[in-house]
Amino acid sequence: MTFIRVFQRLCVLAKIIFMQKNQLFLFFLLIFYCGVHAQNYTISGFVADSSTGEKVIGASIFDTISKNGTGTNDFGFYSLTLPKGKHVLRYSTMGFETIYKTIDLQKNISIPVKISTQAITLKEVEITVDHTKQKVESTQMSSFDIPISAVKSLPFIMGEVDIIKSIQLLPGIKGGTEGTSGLYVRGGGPDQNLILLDGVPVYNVNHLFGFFSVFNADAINHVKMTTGGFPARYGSRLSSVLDIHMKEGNTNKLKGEGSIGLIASKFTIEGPIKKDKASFIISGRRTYIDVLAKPIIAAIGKSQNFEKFGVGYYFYDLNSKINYKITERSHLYLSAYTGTDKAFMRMRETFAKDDYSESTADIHWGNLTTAARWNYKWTDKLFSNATLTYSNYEFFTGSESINKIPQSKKEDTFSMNYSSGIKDWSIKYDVDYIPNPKHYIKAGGHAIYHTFSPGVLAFKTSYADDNFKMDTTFGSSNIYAWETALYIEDDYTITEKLKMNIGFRHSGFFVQENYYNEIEPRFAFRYLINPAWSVKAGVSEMNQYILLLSNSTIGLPTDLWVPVTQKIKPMHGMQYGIGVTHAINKQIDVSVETYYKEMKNLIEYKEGASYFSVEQNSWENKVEQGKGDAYGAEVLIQKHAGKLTGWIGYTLAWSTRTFENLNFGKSFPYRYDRRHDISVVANYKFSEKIDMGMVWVYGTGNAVTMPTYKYQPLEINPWYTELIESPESRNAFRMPSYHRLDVSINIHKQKKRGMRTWSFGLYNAYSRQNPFYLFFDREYSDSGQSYPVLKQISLFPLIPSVSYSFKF
Amino acid sequence: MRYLFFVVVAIMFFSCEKEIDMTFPEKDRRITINAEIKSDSIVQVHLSKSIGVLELDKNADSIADAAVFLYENNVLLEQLHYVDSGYYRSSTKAKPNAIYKLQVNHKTYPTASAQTRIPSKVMITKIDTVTKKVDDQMNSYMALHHKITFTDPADEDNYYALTVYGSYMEYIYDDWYYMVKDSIKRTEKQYITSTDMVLEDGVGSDNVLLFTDNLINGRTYSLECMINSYYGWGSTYQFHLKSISKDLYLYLMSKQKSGYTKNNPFAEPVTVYNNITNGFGILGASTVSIKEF
Repeated sequence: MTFIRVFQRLCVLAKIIFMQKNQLFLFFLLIFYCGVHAQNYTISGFVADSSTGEKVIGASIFDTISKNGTGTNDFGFYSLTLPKGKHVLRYSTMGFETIYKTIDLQKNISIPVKISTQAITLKEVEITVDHTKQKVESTQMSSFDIPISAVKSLPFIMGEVDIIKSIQLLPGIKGGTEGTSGLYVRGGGPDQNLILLDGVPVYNVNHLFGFFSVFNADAINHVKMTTGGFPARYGSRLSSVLDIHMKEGNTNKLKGEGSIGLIASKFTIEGPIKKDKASFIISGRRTYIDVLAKPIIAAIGKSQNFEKFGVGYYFYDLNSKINYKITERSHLYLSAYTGTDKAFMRMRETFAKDDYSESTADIHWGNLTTAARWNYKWTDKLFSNATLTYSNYEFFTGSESINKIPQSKKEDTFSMNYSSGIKDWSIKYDVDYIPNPKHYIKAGGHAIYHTFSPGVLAFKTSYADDNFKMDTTFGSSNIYAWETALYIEDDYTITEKLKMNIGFRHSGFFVQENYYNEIEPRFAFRYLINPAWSVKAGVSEMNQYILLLSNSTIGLPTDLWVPVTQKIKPMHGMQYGIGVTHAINKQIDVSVETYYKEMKNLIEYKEGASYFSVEQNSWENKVEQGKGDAYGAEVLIQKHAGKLTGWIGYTLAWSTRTFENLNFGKSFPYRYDRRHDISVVANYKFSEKIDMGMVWVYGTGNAVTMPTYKYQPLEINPWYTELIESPESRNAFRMPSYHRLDVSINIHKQKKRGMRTWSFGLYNAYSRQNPFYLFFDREYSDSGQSYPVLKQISLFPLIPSVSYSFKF
Repeated sequence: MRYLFFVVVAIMFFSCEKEIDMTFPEKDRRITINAEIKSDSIVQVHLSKSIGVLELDKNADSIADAAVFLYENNVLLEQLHYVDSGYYRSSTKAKPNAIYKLQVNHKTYPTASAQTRIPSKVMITKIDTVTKKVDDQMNSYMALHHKITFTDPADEDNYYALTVYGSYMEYIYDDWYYMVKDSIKRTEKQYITSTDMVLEDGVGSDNVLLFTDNLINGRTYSLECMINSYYGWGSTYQFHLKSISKDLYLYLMSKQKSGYTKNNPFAEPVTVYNNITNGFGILGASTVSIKEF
């Protein structure tokens, strides 16, 4: 069967699926039941890292005799059903030694496998062959597995390893403004990314107004980013899924690692609670700007004659997880994350005895996520995972002041508090069923109970002299909603060359007596032209029921998650993608993808709407809904092994928005419409003791709304007429382009008790003044005449960093 | 360690500011056309140069050497004659419900054009007053509210601008402030406040209230508003209910919003509506109904 014929048939198939959703169930059942074969036996088990006991996600298991294969799931489980007889199984994944096991299959057997990182340098070629092969053969397109070890050797601002910033270096994914942790994927907004930490959605991933992300790399095992061709198990956001798995804890021995950096230090400890049975990991990070600055702040307070004076800011994270193997078939995982940012001010001024003034101000925000997960291997072919999660994001700001009135016991008091947040309870059940090597079926259900707190402002004041008292609260009451999903998908190997992933998802949202629901078909295929070349395509439909009301510049903690309502409809997205993947040689692969994405019911603030407003109930009246589209091409050239590793990513993209009531109905570029985006990421390992990291990025300037011309208005005043300085169109002005070079060098030394590493870095090595914000100002000439100028604020010039880290 | 901390903090918070170039090529400059064609009135058009946003305002000169052609219902009516200070006028009056097109030719700038339609006249049928309690942030007081009644034409989209002019006598005294030497009638545009549902967002306060017939199409409606000044005995108020073209409504509305948000860095930017092809400005039309109170 030629490729063209296969493609034509798939197109017909796709048409059937997408034009007649109701027949999808029948079609799927047909696939589900086909391919039931005669007597075979199943090999199943878990693949783990021999040194730490951590389960290995995404490892390949391949029978070199029958040419059938499978992969490990998110819990390291695999199942491969093969005909009776002799087989040679190859277990491999990037960064680990490839091992072979010869078996004579006469019954269903369980083979737990431990693979090692020890022999990498000796068998590098073997490893790369497997990885590039895996990439070429997979049906999943637009997906990136990010090795944590590679992330850790890259340079970052202030030396703080940041997973979100490393993801921003991949094609199709952009950061927002300079230094921030927002993700803008294939023309989508920052709220269109589902960020999961051990299966729990994290709503705010920013520390310090977005300059750092909340994920502590020392506690992370595996990171996977998917930007298109979504399988049915993923949903509820339009643009991407970032799936982050925490480490489970070393099951063999007690291990620790830590680092001391310029702004933060962190420490991780992990080890067995009961060898090969239960393990734990605890990882913490805290900044110490507040502690170091305390003496200076106190001196400033003293110079201003304050009795007490304190100002500070800090953030911290704490990750913890317990992994307990109940039986060989049953595992329990308990994980939790909490992180908080806090800025505060305390001040007390005493004028005379019993005459003082005291003020405090506080702003803090943070996430708490907890998850309990229970895996159970029902049969050699059937694996399940049940998840119960709780998450809470809270933002609070408050201030309080007391003025003591002399010669009396009375006080004037004033307090103002504002709080908002989102709280979720969720239950999820996922099943992996692998009936034979041709099918890998995943199915499951998910229900989330959301509690939205869209902002409550409370005032309390009393004036002793006037006997005046006020105690009042403004704001919206909590909104409760149920979000549900059911999905089923099959990764179906039709022939050795042709493989497809087909599935559907039913998503639903019940809020304020409104029920929205949709069936979302998903389809992806891979055609293997030869062992080094494959063509992949995918179509996916997504719906999103919760939205982020966000400031259009930086990610503020005040950004508010709100549900769809009767007036505000769910966001809807349809994405089409096609691409080729090619393994150039044993170390390098290239992928080229093109995509087109249509989005409906996107949300934007109305023209003139102010982000800060006292009208707490009015958010629905301040926004508009419209549509958008995005299209482009992405190229990724990746080198996986050797002394030099890294990638070059290039994105050519267009992203536009069309809103009936914005820009007078005319289409306009999305704010993060970036025509060209280039990332060059390289790690060079000089020796076991020294390695170096380098990142260079280039991006077309962001599209902003700024006036370029000015002209007379309709009503002309004979004495003075203020000219109209209006943008010609929304987002029609381009900021200067963005580029930056970061470098780092890591020097390792094996000590008696473990490994120590000194890391030195330069962020923005050639000190490029990149645009953060543009504004108009006035300057004065020598003659005293003022004239307008356009100015640019840049945040980070060259910033050196140093950190010391250790492992034992 | 403490010194290191100071160095880091100083660098981190040392945000750099610099001037950046913004060039405005001469070839991209365009004519500004401003005109509100009023039913039963001579057509008057103002032409001026647009300038780069970094240029001095004084350079936005009026244009005296353009050829301005006026078309009525797609038929050339006349070439407007230049009067003074950038104004060009017609010799004939604009007709109700007619479509007018302007074409401006100039030796330096590209030919600019625009089109509008004179909207139907909507009569003020009645003005009533009621005394109502007003609660503001500081106190509450009684104030005079006006109800302007009109009938919105059905089966068409209508756009309105309500303005109120207050007139009072200004007396000129002799040097001893004893005798009235003279008196002059002064007329001023009034500041109007309203929380009527027809207004966008249900609230408006300015010297012109802009609204559409979205919620009142084809109905007889009484719009309620409050005028914030009172000139005392003998003063009069003229209520002008202008039926305006959609272009003019979008221009006035967006210009008003642009003014409200000009110095608010947290407000979303506003684009002022422009219906001039190859140019800037507005060509709008209106028909007014006036009632004195």
